[in-house]
This record gives sequence, structure tokens and C-alpha cells, in this order.
Amino acid sequence: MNLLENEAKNLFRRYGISTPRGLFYQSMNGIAGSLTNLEFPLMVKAQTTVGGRGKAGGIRTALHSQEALEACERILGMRVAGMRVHGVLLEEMIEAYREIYLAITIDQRSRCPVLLAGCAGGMDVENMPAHTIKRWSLDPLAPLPEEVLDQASHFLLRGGPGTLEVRSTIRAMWRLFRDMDCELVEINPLMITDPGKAVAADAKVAVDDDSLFRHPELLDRSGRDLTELERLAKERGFNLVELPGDIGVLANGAGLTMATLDTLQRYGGKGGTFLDLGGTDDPDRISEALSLLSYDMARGRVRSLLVCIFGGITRCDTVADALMRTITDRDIKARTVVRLRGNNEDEAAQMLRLANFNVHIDLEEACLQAVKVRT
Amino acid sequence: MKGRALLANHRLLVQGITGRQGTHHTAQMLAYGTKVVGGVTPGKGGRSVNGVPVFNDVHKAVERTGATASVVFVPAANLKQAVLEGVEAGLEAMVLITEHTPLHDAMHILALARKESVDILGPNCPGLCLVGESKIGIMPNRIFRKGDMAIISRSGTLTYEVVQALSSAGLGQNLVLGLGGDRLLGTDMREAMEMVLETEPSGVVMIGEIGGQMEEEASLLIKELGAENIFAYVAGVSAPPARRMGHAGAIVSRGTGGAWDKIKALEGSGVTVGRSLADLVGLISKRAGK
Repeated sequence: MNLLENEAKNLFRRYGISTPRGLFYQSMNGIAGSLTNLEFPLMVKAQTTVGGRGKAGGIRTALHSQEALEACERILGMRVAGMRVHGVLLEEMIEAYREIYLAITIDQRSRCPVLLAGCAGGMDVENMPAHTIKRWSLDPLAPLPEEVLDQASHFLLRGGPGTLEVRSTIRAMWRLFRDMDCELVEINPLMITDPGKAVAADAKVAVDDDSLFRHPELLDRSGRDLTELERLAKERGFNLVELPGDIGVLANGAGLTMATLDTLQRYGGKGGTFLDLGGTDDPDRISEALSLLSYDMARGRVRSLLVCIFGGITRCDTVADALMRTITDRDIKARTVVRLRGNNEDEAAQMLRLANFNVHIDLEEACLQAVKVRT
Repeated sequence: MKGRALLANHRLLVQGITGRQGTHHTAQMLAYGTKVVGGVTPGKGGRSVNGVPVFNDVHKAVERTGATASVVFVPAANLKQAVLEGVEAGLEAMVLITEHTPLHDAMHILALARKESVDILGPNCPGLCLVGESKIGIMPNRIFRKGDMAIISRSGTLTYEVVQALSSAGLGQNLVLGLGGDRLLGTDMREAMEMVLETEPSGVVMIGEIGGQMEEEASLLIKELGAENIFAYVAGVSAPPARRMGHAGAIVSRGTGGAWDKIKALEGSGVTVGRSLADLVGLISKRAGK
């Protein structure tokens, strides 16, 4: 999960990384009265869990109260990349003689943490010229080596003012990265001010979703960008991604679910859900997953259902049982297409045909049907 | 070579043997002919599951049974400890079925295993099958047909789909490797490709999906070696960016990891890429003259 900038900065301060003086608000309530506590000019920034807020107009400057209030009002009413803005952060502007880039993330190929340092902060890391950015692979079993701190701080500042602060910032980032199970800790830019202070003007922290059992304080925030259907699925322990299309898809295994959505697209259809049943063979669980999809159809968001199962561990007749039990509404049944392959496929297909389900063994044929029966 | 220990016919331990999954798949592995010699569940030593003796810790189990590898079914929160024990007890290979492993635990486990030269498959993988000889993990027993193709895959059910379709078409397999759906894997696509090519298969089928650069890295190796008869399928052509499609590793982020980039890289290395599962199996059959 991506933390909001404000949440990331709260963590930064706890780890000894300086941030600009600022205030966070979730609504207009109280903003006007507290502006006197900050020194203008101010940065007014949308708090979102997705990138692209700058381009969307979610970062503004304000020279006086009136401008600040207008900016807050606009930002709190906007969406960034379709996602709700969760609040606004007002911060004092920092004057810097250098802006640099620092990040610690995980490199998939080496399976190790990597430190990235860039001489030119403030721009997208993808757009930084290659010679201005350096990387150091870090051993997950060892402490942060002093020579990496030496090399990185020298590369960034050539011994100039702020060297010590940059070193301690990297150290703090490393501790935070480890303690909080981070996928990413990024400061872009880190402002080096004239007396040689280092201040994090922005903050990006992404925490690994699979580690949240170790960070219960974050649990209630992890679902804040989910749709209603996704939330219902999550509460029931299912992995569901809502998609813009109108065909509800239930399959077992992430790969097969994706392949089913791809095949639908080849036949001119568009998936409305990615719902992975996983490796379960429990008829009640299957029934529960089907109920989510029939709910989605009953409210009109999807217009047909495609159930695509490979019976490896799961038995096809168990799935057939669950289908017959759950999909009883005649209209929903008419717009449901089932594709079963694997353990007991013949028996299952026969059961379902007798109950008037549209059943197939072939994936392509089933996808074609799911596109057809939408009406 | 890295990974080679995975391909031996091991004396196997099941870590987490008394759980529902552990018990069920122990029976299935025994039925397939795998030499399951022991199980481990802390606090449940002295029992037996499907005739297999259970021990309190890996060290004792190895001492008593001479086990050389393990398959791990423990919950994610306990995986790190389970692997530490296995590495310390001197196992040569470990297959990690566990889903939802925290990334930092995975980094730790994989770094330690590299250091101690223990070969790891997974986490979040269905395991592997040396067809007709032994099976480690959760793949269904009935789908395989003895032959000489190799399959390497990031997805469980897609592997079963493809293997079953190949078997029905008379195209047998020698080696089926499920690498896992996580972002950090003990054996990645490139390493798996290197391993299976050494066994001189008649062809290799790669089943990839969105996220990361593994397929691209494997395609570089294929080009380098000039390997032939490599087939591939990549799932997730229709996946929207920035959404995690079930597997932790299946996400198109910051313009990388998209399915088309992978398909292009593979085709650029001479790999035959099926546009659908049916297309893939059709292309393989055609090449094999079946």
C-alpha cells in the first residue's frame, strides 16, 4: 500500500528526517483559522495514494491566505487518476541551493534492496540523465555499509555542505525501510539548504501489503481506495479487482483468471471483474464468490457471468454443486456461462446441463458465449 | 549450477505436514511415487501422517530420515523460520508453497539460501514434477504424460491447463517447474530456462505473465544460446496498469512489465508465442508434427 505524503512524513520525522513545517486537513474545517501558524509562501498539495497529482493540478503555490484557501477548496474536490483525494497538505516553501534524489527499493533480479542516489532531484526518476544517477545493491543480511554512505554522499555533494545530513538521511531511510517492511522509501527532492540542512520536500513510502499483519496500525488504511465490490470481496477474503468491462469473471488461479480476461478481449468482450477463487475446494466459499458476482449483476454493473475453472485440486462437480445452489434466478442463470476442465469434468457438465446452465469444456467457446449472452 | 539440486529425486520432508494442505498433498505426493520420508510440525513430533513420521524440528527429521529436500506448507508468518531451519539442517533444495510471504522475509530467505547454496523454488509456487518419477508440491497427479518437453511457469492453474492440453495432444513432458507468482523468487525464469535447457528437452514451454522483467531476461538468454523450440504464452494482455492481478508479482507499473513488451522480447529472440492457450498448444502440436 502507498502511504499518503503526510503519513510518510510523519514516519520520516519519527526516524529523524526533517520535513517542512506543515499542516494536514481532510476537509476545509479549521484551515482558515490555522493559516496564521504558517509562513507564506505555501505549497498546497493533494494527498493521494496514486501518482500524477502534479499533472492533474494537485500541487499549487499560495502567496497569501486567500490563494491558499482557494487552492485547498479545489484540491479537496478533485480526483487524481480516478482516485479520491484524501486530504490536503499545506507546507512552508523551502529555499535550497541543491535538490537531490534518494530512494531505497527492492530489485527483483538480485532480490536485494537497492539504494538510488540522483544529483538532480525534483524530476521523474525515469527522466533523469543516466550519469546523474547511481545505484548500490545492499545485502539484506547485513547492516548498511559505511562505504556506501561515503560513496553516495560524495557522488551527490562532493564533500560540500550537507554531507553529514545526507548520510544520516540515508541511514534513517534504511532503518525505516527495514522496520516498516517497505517496498519503497523515496525522497524527491531532498532539499539541501544553505546552512547545510537536509529537508525532505516530498515523501513516498510504499509498505508491502503482505507484511501488514506486522503493522496493525496501517490495516484500516489499506482498503481506503477500494470500490464497494472490492471491499465486500476483501471482507470475505477474496481477491477481486473491479475492471471497467461488463462481464463478471470468476476463475481459479491468478494466471487463469488473467488468461480468461485476455481471451474475452479477443472475442470483443471486456471483463468487469478479476475474481480469483484460489485453490479452495470448499463449496461454501465457491458459493460466496458466486454471490458477489450475482450481486454485481443484479445491480446492473455487469451483464453476463463467466465462471472458468480448472479442476486440479478443486473438483469440477463441487463447483457445479455450488453453481446450482447459488445461481437460482432464471435471468441470471441465462446470462451465466460455465467452463469446467479437469477433475470430474464430465459429471459436472452433465449436472449443469440438466439444470439448464450454459456449459463448455473449451475456454474460447465459453468466452464467445459470455460475450453473446450479455443482452 | 544454481537450481540443479531441485531436479534430483530427493528424500523429501514436508514442513507443515499436519495442516490441511500438508496432509492432503503428502498423500498425493506419495501416490505419485515421491519419497516422502518425514514431516515437521513443531509440537506434534511422534505422530504420523499417512504413515509418514512427524518430527518437532527439521534438524531431528533430517537426522532420523536422511532427508535432502523439503516442501513447505507453513503460514506466511512462519515461513522465514521454517526456511532458516531447513537451511541450517543442511537441506539441498526447498520448495515453498506458502502464499503471501512478506517481501522482506523473502529477501532474507533468498539471500541466506544463496549464501548457503540451497536451491529454492517459490515462494507461492505449485512445485515441480519430474514426470513419472517424483512430484514435489501441489500439482494434480493426473495431468502429466511422460515425454521430453519441459515447462516453466509463473502460474499454477495455467500450468495445469497447458500440461493437460499437451498430454491430451500426445505431447509428453519430462520436467514441469512452477516458479511461483511472487515478485521475489528463489528460481526465476532465466535461471529456470538455464536449468531445463541442460536437460536437453525436445522443447520448452514458458508460461509468463505481466509484472517484472523475468520474461525479458529469459529471452536474452535464449538469444545468447540460440536455443530452439521454445514456446511461450504471456497472460495479462488485457490487464490495466497499476492494478495487482492476484499474484503479488502481476502488476504493470511505471510503464514496465506489460504483456506486449514481453511478447515482443520473446519473439525477438526467436520464441514462438501463442496468442491464446489454444493457439499455444496448436503451435506446439504443429511443430511436433502431431
